[in-house]
Amino acid sequence: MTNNNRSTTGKNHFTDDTNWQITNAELMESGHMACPGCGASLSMRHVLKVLGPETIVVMPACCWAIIAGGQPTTALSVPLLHTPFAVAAAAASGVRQALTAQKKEHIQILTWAGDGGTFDIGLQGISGAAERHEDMIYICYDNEAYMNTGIQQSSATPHGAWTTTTPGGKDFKYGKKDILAIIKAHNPGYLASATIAYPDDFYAKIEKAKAARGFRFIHLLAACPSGWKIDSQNALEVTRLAVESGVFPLLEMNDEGAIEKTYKPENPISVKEYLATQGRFKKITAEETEIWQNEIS
Amino acid sequence: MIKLKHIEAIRNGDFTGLPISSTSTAVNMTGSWKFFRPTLKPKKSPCFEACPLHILIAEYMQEFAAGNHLAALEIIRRNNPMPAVTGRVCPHFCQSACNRTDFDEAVLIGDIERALGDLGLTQPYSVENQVCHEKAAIIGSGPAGLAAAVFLARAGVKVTIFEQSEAPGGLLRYGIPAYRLPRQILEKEIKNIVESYSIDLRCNHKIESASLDNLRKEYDAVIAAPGLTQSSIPETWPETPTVKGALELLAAISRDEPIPGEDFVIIGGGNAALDTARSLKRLGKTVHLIYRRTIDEMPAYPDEIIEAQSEGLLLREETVIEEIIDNGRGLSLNLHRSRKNGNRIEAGDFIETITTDFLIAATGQESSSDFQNCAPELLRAGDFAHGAASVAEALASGRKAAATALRKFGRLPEDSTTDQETQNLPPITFAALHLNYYSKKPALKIPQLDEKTRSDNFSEIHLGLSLEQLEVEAERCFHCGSCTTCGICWFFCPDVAIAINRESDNAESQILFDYDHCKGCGQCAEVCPRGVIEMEEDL
Repeated sequence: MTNNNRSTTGKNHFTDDTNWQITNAELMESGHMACPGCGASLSMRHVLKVLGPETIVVMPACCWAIIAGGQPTTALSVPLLHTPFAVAAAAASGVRQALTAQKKEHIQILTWAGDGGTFDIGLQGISGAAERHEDMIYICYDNEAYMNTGIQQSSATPHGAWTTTTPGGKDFKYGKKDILAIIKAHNPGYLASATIAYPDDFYAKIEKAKAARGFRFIHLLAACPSGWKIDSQNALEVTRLAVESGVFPLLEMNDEGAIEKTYKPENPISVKEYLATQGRFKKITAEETEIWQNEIS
Repeated sequence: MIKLKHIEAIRNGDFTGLPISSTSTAVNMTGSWKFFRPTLKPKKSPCFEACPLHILIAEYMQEFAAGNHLAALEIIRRNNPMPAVTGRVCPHFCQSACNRTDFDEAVLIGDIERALGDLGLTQPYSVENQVCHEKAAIIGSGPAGLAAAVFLARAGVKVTIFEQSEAPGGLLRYGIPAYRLPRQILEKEIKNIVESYSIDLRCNHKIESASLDNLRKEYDAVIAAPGLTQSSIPETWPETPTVKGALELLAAISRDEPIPGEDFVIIGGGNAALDTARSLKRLGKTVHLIYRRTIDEMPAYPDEIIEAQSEGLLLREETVIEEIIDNGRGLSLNLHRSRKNGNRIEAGDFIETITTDFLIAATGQESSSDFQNCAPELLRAGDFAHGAASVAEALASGRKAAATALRKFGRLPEDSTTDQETQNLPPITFAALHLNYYSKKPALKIPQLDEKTRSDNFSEIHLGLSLEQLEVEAERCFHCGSCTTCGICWFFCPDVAIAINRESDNAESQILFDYDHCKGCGQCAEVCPRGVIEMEEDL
């Protein structure tokens, strides 16, 4: 499980603005089962770069349960526990308690679930773990539908979006569940939303979560080229535009417990421009787009 | 289902029969899924294309920003033997073409070149110990002659330069005022060239066309680069000592000769006109510059026009002289408004009559040598070959003449293949760059002497910045079309299928695509700021 030909040397500085250090050690392997351009696999790669090898990943049924590879293969160089759909946070709590009993508090628990396992099916487990302030980082990589089972609508699917269960677009009455507000009500140790399209913001937040204690929750937007009906090469750009348009703001809970934006687009784009980049919003009407725009501004 | 005996086994370190994975997914050749594969496709930057000398600007900016100043200087010198000079007097075609202009402001390539040139004044040129028996003679030690000398000497040719004036430099010394190009900078750069390459420089040595034949017998190649050293005076103007050419006057000023007269009228709109006007003003003379078209149409470099105006130069646009009367003590000039007749300018309404001590023509240049009618096989370079042009173009033409001479000797000119390889690359446009991860950052401000401090002396106007300060400026360079191993493709690869090997000397092996695992998503091509990665079909 070594990446002997992937070492890089020197500073990783891909623009004049980036001066944080990125480790060359990879804890995620090539050959995983993610589709081309998958935002979830890219996010996992960088989350593990920050958390380091002393991490145990717990994940329920989700895309990543497939991406990680079938037995006897695994895409992660850290231990990974697969759990049933509803119980990731509960199982992670158990692992945490076992480690505490062994006096291995320094090992991070990363609960890594999709939007289905977080917004819908796993919600009670999360609520329980959050209520007990279980010492873990819970990351929801949100690709806005049940993608690996065939793009069914979840409560994270934004209104108007096409899925196989909402062929005419998700009813505009039902928006995306405000997961940050739900978790915030549990008084978590850390709370933020992020996307890998903003690397410095992403790294800063994962590092803060790593340094904090208690139940920590990060909501990641992860592009899904097949589910969003976009070309794989545009996955990153579409994620970026989600932030630039205000559809997915980059947020963080501050010390006073209020949620604030960590990034304000200099030249924001309209919701219409963001929706136009994806095939799944083809059926959304102009009036609906305008309502959406007004919700944001 | 896990049974008690399994737990017993785990305690003993035996995992058989348990659903535990221990093999890397890297055994899956997911690369077989792809229809497109990423490849490195370097391109030529617009600055490279615009530069008459084709300096690899994107490449040396990279070295410079990394603090490798001498390596950057070496890249410049490969194509440009006089960076301290061109850094000051070149209009920087490269900067006008810079892709960063469409983003915020062009990179100050000229100021970086200038600083590196100054660094080079104390750095001998690297000389390869190539020795051959050919000898070459070069007539004229202006930029073209010096460039020809350098590129011949680099190939081991023994070079002799014949200069008719008392000191080398040609137009650089006698045509460009010291406030744009300080004498000691020019002298140091020429001295460095002459000493590094052991060039036999013979000043006060005029070559007449009659002696050309002897020269050609003695030397294997003769390159004529005598320049266009005198201003052409319009035929309709009276022949009197109070009518002069701008270049003659500039040469006299640069020789510190006393300049008689108080009032000067200069006709023209090129650099020579402005240089003469600004020099005379510095000597305390009253100067009127008269140009027949509008200021916007002046062929002089825009910076020079702006500087001249800020110095309070009296400038009359769209004005022509219809009649010149020599009244014994001075000249009376009848000024008329310009009237356009198609493309031509004619005299329109009469404006007024003005008097002046001297009338200076800066309307064109001609050669003072008599080589025009010499054998066509005589190699020519510089303004004498292609008409008045920029210093960079003169240097380029000197290099070209040297290459022609070398081919005549049956040898391949140095570096011509590298140049050609870059030249053959496709160009890169602003639209092909991906700049989402760059933020706007204006160019540095270059300090210059204010109008008051510079009004009565020939001190250099532009003060320049230190190498360390300019490193920040070089970091603004996008390095359009050349891979800098920045690592953005590596960072955004969801399949961990890109490796960067910054140790490798070979640009092509610095980025390694793992085609066994690359699924061809194409995100690397979409994030590459420099437009180097392209997707090609892979079926």
